[in-house]
Amino acid sequence: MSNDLQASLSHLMPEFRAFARSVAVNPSDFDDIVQDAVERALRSDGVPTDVPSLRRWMFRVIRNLNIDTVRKIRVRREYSAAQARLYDDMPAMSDTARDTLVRIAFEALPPATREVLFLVDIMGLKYSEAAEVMDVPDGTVMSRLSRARKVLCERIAGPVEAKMKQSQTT
Amino acid sequence: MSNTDIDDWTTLSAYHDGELPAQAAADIAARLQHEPQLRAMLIEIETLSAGLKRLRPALSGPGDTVVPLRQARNPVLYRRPLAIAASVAVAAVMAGYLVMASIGPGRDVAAWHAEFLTQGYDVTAAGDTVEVSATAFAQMPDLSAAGLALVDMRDGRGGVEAYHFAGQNACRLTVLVGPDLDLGAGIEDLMSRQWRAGNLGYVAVAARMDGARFATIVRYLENLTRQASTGGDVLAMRAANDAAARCT
Repeated sequence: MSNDLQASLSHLMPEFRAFARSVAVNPSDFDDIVQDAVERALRSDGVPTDVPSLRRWMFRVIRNLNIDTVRKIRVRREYSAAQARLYDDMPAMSDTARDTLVRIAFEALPPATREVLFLVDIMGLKYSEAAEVMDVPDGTVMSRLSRARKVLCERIAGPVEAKMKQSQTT
Repeated sequence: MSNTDIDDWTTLSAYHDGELPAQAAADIAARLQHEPQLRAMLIEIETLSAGLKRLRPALSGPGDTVVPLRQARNPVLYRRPLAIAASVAVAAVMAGYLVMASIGPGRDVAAWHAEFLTQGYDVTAAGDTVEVSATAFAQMPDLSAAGLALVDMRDGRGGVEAYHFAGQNACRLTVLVGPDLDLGAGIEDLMSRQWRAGNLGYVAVAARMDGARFATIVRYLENLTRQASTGGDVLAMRAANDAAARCT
């Protein structure tokens, strides 16, 4: 095992945990998924050594492990967790009401919607990098992101259409 | 939102991210000079994106104590409690359905609430909570901002659906949805709010809950069912929850 790899994994661990929480259908599974991903990285040959590539490689592994987990779910009510406890790895909540609403609304989104917002908005990945993680074309990232942002906007402040009409009349 | 608006929103979203080809970016930049509606859209996207960016987790620093990865946990020991918890949860769910079958539907609101109160629910992260949605009542509303988690849901006679929420300090809330709800006499002893939206009637009941907290919750639910909920409702719930006296 490379000490450098272990150090890099440890360094990036908060991001791995936050991403796993964003995409996990069952939030209580996220820790298992991250740990499985780390174990896979430590066992694998050819794991990227530079941090940006390692980050994307781990995001892909976490994503695939989550898909495997979802496939195993047979009893829907077996799972889930208190939504209010999500994201304790993330920075403390801002004092502004807007940030509070963004956080609440983001946490309440479906996992598939949270995923693209996490990769592009929170992590700052380029579309091509997010596409690599999500295993979809760049154009799909663009359209998913657009829809996700629209849904999030509407959850925070009402339908975008209404605001557009309002801006036209003022 | 018209198709044109949707196209503009998608284009602006990519423009904000610096992902448009040069010519398309120049075109949208030119339009932004003359179209206030377009500028408003862009500001909305920029504000949202900035808010999300602040959710990025801080990385572990060299001085931080990091649990060695190999020793983070023993997978076998770690998973066993989860497996047990999952088994218990499945058993609890099955038991819940058996109870429902044995007690039968067709009850009034107070009886539903009383029945839920006889059940113990674990509202911790690994407990009995059920996945919820913030947008549609039919998918179960998210009351986490009010400190409540959905812990049980049952079907009754005549298309009635009963949802039960629980929080810390024995806080409990029952919400019934159905075309024709039997309010019954017992509701007079509870905090309650009834309303209709579309073809469905709704009633929310609680007991020994802070009045202002209950009011913000039912306002949120009422607006949600009428598709008029805003972020302000969620914020009001959170503020009322923070300021509320403990449930007794």
